[in-house]
Amino acid sequence: MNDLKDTMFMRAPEALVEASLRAGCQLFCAYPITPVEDMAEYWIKRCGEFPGALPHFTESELEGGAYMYGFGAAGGRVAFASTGTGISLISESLGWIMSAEVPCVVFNFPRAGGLSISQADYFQATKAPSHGDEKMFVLAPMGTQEAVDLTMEAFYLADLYRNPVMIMCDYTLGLTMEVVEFGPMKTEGLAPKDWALTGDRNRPRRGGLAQSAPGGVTAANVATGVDENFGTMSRGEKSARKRADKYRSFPARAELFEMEDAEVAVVAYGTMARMILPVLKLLREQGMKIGLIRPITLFPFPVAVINDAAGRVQKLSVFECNSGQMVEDVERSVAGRCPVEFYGRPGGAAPTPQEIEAELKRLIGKVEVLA
Amino acid sequence: MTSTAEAPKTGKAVFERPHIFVEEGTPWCQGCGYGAWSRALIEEIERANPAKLVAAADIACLEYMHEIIPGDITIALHGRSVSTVRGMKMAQPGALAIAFQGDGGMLNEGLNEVIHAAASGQNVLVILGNNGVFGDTGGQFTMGAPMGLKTPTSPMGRNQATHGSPIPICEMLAMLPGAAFVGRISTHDPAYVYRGQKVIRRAMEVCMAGAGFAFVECMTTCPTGWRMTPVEAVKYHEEVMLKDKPVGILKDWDPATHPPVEAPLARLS
Repeated sequence: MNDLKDTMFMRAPEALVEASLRAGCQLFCAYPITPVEDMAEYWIKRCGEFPGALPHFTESELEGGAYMYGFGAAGGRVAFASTGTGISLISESLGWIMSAEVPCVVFNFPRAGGLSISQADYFQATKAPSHGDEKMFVLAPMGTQEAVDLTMEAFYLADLYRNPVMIMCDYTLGLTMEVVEFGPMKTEGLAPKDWALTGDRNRPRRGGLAQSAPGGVTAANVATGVDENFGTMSRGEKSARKRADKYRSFPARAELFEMEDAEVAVVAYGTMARMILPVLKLLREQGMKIGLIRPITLFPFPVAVINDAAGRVQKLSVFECNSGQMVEDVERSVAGRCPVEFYGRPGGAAPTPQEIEAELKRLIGKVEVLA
Repeated sequence: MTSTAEAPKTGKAVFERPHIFVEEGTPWCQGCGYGAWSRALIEEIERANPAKLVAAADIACLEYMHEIIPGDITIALHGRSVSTVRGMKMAQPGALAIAFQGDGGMLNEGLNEVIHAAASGQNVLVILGNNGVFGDTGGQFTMGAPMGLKTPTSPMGRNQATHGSPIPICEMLAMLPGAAFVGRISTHDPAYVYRGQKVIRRAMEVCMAGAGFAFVECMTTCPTGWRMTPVEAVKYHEEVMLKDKPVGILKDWDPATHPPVEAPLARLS
């Protein structure tokens, strides 16, 4: 079925579509906005080689959100891709999807006003992807290979947890071209989707009006008076608590670089972390004890890892391409155990290696503040 | 649930509620027309007997469809049930797919979606319950409201200068090559309900044959939203709502010019 090799030199957006196809995605809702139009084109070009993958080109992002809800609820594997503006447009549907616990994967390429790097949509992704109390799991890759691996895994995690999973890229990654290797599709431990609305009228009646939240997926082959005994708790509270437990049960991840003997630690994710790493290695060779903590899951945030590090370093600094968003999560993780500083480049700016070097030296006390 | 006195057992039953009604009665207000067309629709589902049925209904009055539909249904966001059911249909291609939207959801919030659906020609049945008002929230006028309708948001009556004109959605969709079937029915008296049920039957046959996009607009009264008695509402419906709105089949499926988009749908044996 597949005439492409497992190792390829590819642009990241296309590699993510290839990974989605190999992970069994059947419907890819991508609406043209740079770099997502490349994903739509690649999907249309390649989907014919994967049985079950539909050559559908989504008419609008609003409809893409609704397709994702309907397709996922009916048991299909589905993805949506856009930049922050498109995520805003499907925000309403995402609330519905999360509350109804419909699995799906969302690709996000946040941009600043124009066409440049940005991490300004961190809050949108991790704090309030929609109205309501629900959350989605957010995975932030640093490079194309990791993005591919996380994509393959995201479809699995979405089904396993019955929740949307976001791959939080950025515009720079969207323009990156690298060698990537595609692994096998993961299926261990996945139960059949017996909750899916297949429409099968031979199926026995279900014992619940709404399987999830009010307004969520309902199995309409319902009998009357089917409430489970929830004690004093309402159906709404019960299902909301169940979802909150689910969010807590998802293991947070972070990657540590040179943290064993670090005196100063930098916290950064995505492309920002990738920009810092070569500079950090250079300064390490000069004997400066700097380490890096790279959160891979932005939600749930790796609170324990950062709290533990905060007990061992003199100070932490958060580097972001925005005016200060993840720094709030770092501060609550540190919980006062060490000082937290912030280095931000908002509005589409990215630091040069020299600027990163100057800031890291200032942090470790080698150089006083540069003008 | 209202209780009814048991009728004396005189012999053969000549009138029953559809066997596959999963709830007793319908959940809408007294005098509402939704009960009439939804009953007709359920009877036609029973007649067509699809092996698989997926549906989506907008939040608002029609979300109560989940109490009576004999298949799997999602409550979609306001204005999104056509796209939601299109998604469901893509995942379950063998299913009869039905979207239920009110005039607020379709003509105000989700207008682009029904037009895209008709243009696509995808084999889904879309039902519009049109009573001219946002019934669930107390009767504000929608883009389906007739000129002159007085509501809390058009207290002097709907007029062109302030509120714009109603959107003739049936006529607009019938223009599109993807639309296999377009019909309009009314439920304000038994004769219209009887004729309307035949339109719904034909629409369902068209979808069961895999023909493509089918659309039925159900014109109904909303005495609660219009602030009228049911009798006044029927009179207003006849004189104003149905004015310039032909009832019946506006565009019938012609296999010679519109080949089916998919294989006929399986039925329960």
